[in-house]
Amino acid sequence: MDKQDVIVATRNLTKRFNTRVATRKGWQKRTIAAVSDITLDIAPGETLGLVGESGCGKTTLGRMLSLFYLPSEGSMHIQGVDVSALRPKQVKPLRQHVQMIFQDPMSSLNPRHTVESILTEPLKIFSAGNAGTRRQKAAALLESVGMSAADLGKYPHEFSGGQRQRITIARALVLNPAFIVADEPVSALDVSVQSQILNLMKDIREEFNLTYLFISHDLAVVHHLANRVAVMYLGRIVEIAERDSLFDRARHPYTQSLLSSVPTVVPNKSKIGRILQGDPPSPIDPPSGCPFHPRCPHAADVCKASVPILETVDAATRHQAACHLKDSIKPGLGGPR
Amino acid sequence: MRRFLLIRGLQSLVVLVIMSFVIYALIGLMPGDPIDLMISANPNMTAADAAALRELYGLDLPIYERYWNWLTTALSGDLGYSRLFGQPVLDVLFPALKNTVILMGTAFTLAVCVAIPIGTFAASKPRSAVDYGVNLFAFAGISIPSFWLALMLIIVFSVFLGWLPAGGIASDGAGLFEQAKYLVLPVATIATLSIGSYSRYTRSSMLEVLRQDYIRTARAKGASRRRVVWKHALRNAMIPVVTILALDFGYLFSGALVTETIFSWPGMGKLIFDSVMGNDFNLALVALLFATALTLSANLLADICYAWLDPRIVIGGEKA
Amino acid sequence: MNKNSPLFLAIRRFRRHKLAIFSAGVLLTMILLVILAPLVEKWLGVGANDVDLYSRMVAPSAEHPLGTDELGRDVLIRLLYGGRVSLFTGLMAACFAASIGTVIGLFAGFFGGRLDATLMRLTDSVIALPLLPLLIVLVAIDLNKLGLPPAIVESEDVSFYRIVFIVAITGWTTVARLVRGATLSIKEREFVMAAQGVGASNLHIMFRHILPNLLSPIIVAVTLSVGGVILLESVLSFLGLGIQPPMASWGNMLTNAQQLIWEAPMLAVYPGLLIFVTVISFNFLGDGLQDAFDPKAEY
Repeated sequence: MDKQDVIVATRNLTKRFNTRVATRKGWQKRTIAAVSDITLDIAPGETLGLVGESGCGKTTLGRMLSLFYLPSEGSMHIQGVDVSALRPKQVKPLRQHVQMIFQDPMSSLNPRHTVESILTEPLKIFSAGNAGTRRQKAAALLESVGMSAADLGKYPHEFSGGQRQRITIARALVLNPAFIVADEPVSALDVSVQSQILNLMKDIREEFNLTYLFISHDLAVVHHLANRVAVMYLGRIVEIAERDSLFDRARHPYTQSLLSSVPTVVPNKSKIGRILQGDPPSPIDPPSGCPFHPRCPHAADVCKASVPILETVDAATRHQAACHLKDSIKPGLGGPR
Repeated sequence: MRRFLLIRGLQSLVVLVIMSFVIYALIGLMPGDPIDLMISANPNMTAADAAALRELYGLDLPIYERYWNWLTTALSGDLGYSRLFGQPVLDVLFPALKNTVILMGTAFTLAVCVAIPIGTFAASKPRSAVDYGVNLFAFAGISIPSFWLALMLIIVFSVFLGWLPAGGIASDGAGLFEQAKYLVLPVATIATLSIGSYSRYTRSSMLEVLRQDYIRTARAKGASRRRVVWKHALRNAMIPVVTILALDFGYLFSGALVTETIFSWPGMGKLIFDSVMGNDFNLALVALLFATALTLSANLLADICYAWLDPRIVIGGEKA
Repeated sequence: MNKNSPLFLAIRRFRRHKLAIFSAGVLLTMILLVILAPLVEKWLGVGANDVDLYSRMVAPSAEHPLGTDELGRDVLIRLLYGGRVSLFTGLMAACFAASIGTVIGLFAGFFGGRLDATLMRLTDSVIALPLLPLLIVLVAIDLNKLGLPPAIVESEDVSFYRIVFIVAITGWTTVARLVRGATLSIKEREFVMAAQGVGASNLHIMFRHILPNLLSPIIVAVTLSVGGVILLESVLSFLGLGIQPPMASWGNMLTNAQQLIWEAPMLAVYPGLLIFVTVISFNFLGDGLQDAFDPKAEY
């Protein structure tokens, strides 16, 4: 794909962190690859869902795409601009193109600032408009997210979790970004409120022409909003496809077990879900070869030997999987409808 | 543990060396210098004489050289001569140190023996009369000016009641009872202030611990209240308290200064005060350095105690 | 004015602390009285520094409600003027120390890494020093030797500024540690990342986002430290090193009291009593503020 037709394009993106680990000899320096070798395109208007367990690197990837971390290796283009070539000080103008919606409504808003102050701050930082126009814009955005201009003078603690998340969404829209990274935006909310927020996100997607990266560990939620879904495991994308293709015909054993653990409303499924054995992996000491092989029911010798790469299994639905044994595993396991 | 000790020890040493220079410089900034003192004693000295003497004693050298000279001399064992006392500095220092240790040791022990039990007791009966009483007493303890408390005690026990001397120290060879008479008021002064803050720390630390889940578990298992408090809670509550105690022990050396001065107790604190006020440079310098070294050691000790007592802390990677 | 702002909520919680409110009342009364010192002076017709050797150490009378001191000066007036000096010194030094401590703690906590390590080592070193002896040496310094112009050295107020400065440069450490700890925890909250996400610079984040959330612990720390500062000033003045006579301060009013303790013991009682009441009030007040701002702490 030509880089101009996509909002976000990454090639072999990798992020490493230095950390210290407690061992018998004291604190030792270790390097963790939180994200390894991610090659991805996100087209305008698309909603890409990103799922995986905690520690799989999806949050790190989200933060990289939101310009909070610079890549250790590989390239990342946002709106055609090569981010990896930038120095930290040059990043600021790019922030108008990509914004983030955060997970915890309790801590994502400064308790000492009024709603108006929170919403007008980005405009002040970019020196856009004057006090009057900024206030107007803040009021308008509040209305777009289902709140009223009367809320401008209030403080975050006066609102419920769902309302605070609306404010967070409004803040993400202030700079008119084209691309929004939503990191578990509904995970901290009550179930009844979750659907409200998800529908809101759908509405503003139309209204503001947004492209989303929707990160979540909850497949049901992702199903609601995404048109393409990627599955991550230990810093790598193990499967990626258009939504229905992934949910109906998953090829990677990890995806299959994820899907099988989603409670379905229709109770007549006779298949019993496959329960994953073993502990979730630790990025400090990753397994050799395919990162999933210690817990994979199909694991073979080749899986221990080399890391599988993403290969196309169905070009029509842009379905790719990274598994040595993908041709011999029966696709799909059913999922939520 | 060894690595930690080494690093912290080295750090303290570096601070001590830096402070020795700082103190040397500060003392040099005090009014007058040895030659001025000579001049005031001998009005016939001319400016030329003064200049010659300065050169002779090396007083016109830049500060770094003077400091270096002093340092090398000191490290070889010669710490100089005290002008005020007419004796080598060390001969003056050690008796003073002994007196301070007697005073501080008594006060500290008394304070700890009183404060920890009452703090614990207050914590075990929250919002009772005892608790409020202890809290009030603690607040008073940290708010009262030490010198005023000393004066009040003198007024009551020396002036009005005449039971105890208003200051000084027993002469050498006096009996234990005689010596104790001179100790009572100074110890009472210092101890009151310490009991105030120690009991408060003990109480809040105890409260923190008693709130923990594992205490409720012990109670649920049927342990009596007293056993819970004294066996389970005390050890954990003591951890921050010990740290405070160890730290305070270092401060006691300097805090005693006021008390010693008021009661004319010939200890380190009074020595520092007298030497600074009397422009006795050599003595002031060494006394201050001593106080600094003692305080730094107490701090180091506090760190070690804290790390040793708390099994959760991994110092330098190894479990202590 | 939003009735639900964090400040109002804190004020509401504070109102439940009877003791703290009482202490606040005591302090306000005291501040009022010392401000009115000139009026009392006029009313009594006696000056604070008027020496009257014929009326040394007289008992309380209509002319001198609290008697006179060893130089015949009226005690009440001197207490009031002394209060001005002691309170003002305490507050100024505490604020000065808090400013230094806040900046150091904020930068250390925010930037972490080498800067943090260096600043914390500095802080620990200052904490580890014997306070009073060092202060005494600092006070004893001959300002001429430092190169300050004679106009400053000889001025009346120099002892005052010197005390404030000295107490402040040793008193910032508690606030620094506190602020650093609070900064570290605030830094982890998502709104800080959100601010970075909209392009805020580091300074903007430190002062517009983190600092407002630090105000409550800072206010508590300052209030609690005023007491200690006042004690420190009074000790130094008592030893003759702080505020110099004839300017009165509660501390230096006690300087000669020890010699006179057999003849006029009451002279020793009043100034110290006032110091005690002031300091304990600040401590109760600070305790109440701490609970008002952070209700988790046990009374």
